[in-house]
Amino acid sequence: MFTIPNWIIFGALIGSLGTYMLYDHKGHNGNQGALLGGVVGAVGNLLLLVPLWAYIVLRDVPFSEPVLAAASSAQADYHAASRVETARAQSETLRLVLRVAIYAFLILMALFYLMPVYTVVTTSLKTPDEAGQLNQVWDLPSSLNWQSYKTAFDMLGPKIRNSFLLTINATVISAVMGSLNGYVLAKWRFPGANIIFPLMLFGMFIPYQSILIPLFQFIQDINLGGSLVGLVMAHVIYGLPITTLIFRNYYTEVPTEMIEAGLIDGAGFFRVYINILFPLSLPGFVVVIIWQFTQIWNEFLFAVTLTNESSQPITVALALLAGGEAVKWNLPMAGAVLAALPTLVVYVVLGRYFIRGLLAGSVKG
Amino acid sequence: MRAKLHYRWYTPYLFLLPGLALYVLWMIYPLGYEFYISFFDWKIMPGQTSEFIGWANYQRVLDDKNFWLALENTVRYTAVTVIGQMVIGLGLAVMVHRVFIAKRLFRGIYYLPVVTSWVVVSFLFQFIFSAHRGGLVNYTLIDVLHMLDEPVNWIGETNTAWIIIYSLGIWKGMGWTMVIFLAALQGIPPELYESAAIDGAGEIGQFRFITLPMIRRTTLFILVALVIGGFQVFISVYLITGGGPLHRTEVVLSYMYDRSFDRLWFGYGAAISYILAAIVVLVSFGQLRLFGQSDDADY
Repeated sequence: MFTIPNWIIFGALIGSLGTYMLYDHKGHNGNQGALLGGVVGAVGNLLLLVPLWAYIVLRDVPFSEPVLAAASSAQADYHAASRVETARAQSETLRLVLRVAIYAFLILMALFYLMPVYTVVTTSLKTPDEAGQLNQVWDLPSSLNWQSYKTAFDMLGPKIRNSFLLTINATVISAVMGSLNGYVLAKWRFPGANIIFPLMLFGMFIPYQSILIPLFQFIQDINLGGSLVGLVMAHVIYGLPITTLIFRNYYTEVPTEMIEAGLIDGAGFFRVYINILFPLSLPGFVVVIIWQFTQIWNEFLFAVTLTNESSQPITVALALLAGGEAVKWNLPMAGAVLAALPTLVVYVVLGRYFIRGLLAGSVKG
Repeated sequence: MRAKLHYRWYTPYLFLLPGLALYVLWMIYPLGYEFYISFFDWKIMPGQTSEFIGWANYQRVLDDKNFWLALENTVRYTAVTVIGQMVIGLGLAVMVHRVFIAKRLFRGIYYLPVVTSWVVVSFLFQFIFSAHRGGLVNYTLIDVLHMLDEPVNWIGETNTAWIIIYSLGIWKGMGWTMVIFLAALQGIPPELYESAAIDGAGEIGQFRFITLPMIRRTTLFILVALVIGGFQVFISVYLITGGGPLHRTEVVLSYMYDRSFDRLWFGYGAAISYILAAIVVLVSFGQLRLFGQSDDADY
């Protein structure tokens, strides 16, 4: 993540933001914003310039791709070689232009893409009066007002607690169950295995609103209606197909010789799992846990149907907060930041595994 | 040779039992029960009896103008957002793939909305498109770009409400599409491009004759997944317009939710969700047939 090239782009982004702020606040009375913009711009440009300088001086990373090296092998005849030469000469300039264009476009797109994020964060830090002001959406807060966060946290604190209880429990249970299922389905042959696995996979394709109404009724019937336990169970089961699939694929990679060695040493069915497979499972667990954590934390339809006011997680509470036609958006925006933060933190810290899990599961998020 | 393990025949089943039992009890059974409910004028309150009415719920759904409108809206949403996500996602993936600096940073930025809750991003778009003059989009269009004179009531009008919902769908999903496309692009052997360059293929030719055929399977996978997702659009519509005004921005799921949990017509809602499930299964099946055929043709 924090390589020199990344810093250059990062610096360019921050730098342009800062420059924009400076420009934006030139005429206004609030000098604080201009000052902040200037500082941010300066820091951003430093972030840009220092690594750029280092980059040019050190040149440890080749700037251009190794062009067509393979083509000039012994087999290549004169004709091909000359074509490569012309192609190379033509493409040198073209490539440079193209690359600059691509970077410019990607940076612009990224800024455009991040615009909503910018407005959420700035609005959440404004005072209610300022947030309600017309014609100031683009402006930075004149002073940093953390009050909205405090109020939002006081209001949403219990819901955040619910969300954590829900997410952690459901994630851990579904991961452990998925691991057990994955072990059995990956490493043992037994009658019915080729029915059970497709049956579990089938669960991934069930549109889950199709089970919403009976699930609601069922949970009412067993007296778990409106409780967090019912919701935890729903998420455990709904997550089971994907966790089973990921663990099954993961355990299939474990060489069968390891299991045979264990068997020769006299380990039984359970011992093989505990002593051989489980200790190897950490990467699998990381992938599954990240996947489940984000899915469950962000989920809304089950949560809004199966909980009541005291057990509802943050997504539901936030949706209700948004229900009123709010004009002063500072408080709802602070709530939105609080609701989004845990998954973003997980993603930023463990992003590499995230993508891997995504590709392993190959399921839409 | 495989070492024989002496375990009782039921041991594997014992291992699978907790997960499987719960799975059947909470997933397969409700799925069947839903079908059962759809034949009743279902009453959820204890003490009331539910009346068996046969196919009447299905009949009523198929005669319901609002349902057809919701279905049409859903199909339109799916078409617009799937095409938008795939085109933009592929475009970004091709560009990010060519970039050597900050590849992961770009990937990370575009992936951010994917890991954020639908509730949060719906909320965000409500804010950006708020109706009064100070809303971000209105303000920008009126006072910065001078393209409009009057603020637009984005959420209140059917057509403009769709703009919000479509753009949210594309904005939230294209990072996912991009990441999957990017992985596919990275799997293409560079030698193919080299030999194409020797044969005189330009940028566009290479894209047309190497990139596109090589990512065909991925493209179909993304298509199937996005279409399934598109048909199940719910949260953004439910939170941003609530299906209004007058059910005109309703999609199938929001309509199902409205009938079931607001009107308490559970049998009716069950019929809607079974019809939707049937459509989704049929469409996915059709696309998977496409999958199989293209595999035969290619390899």
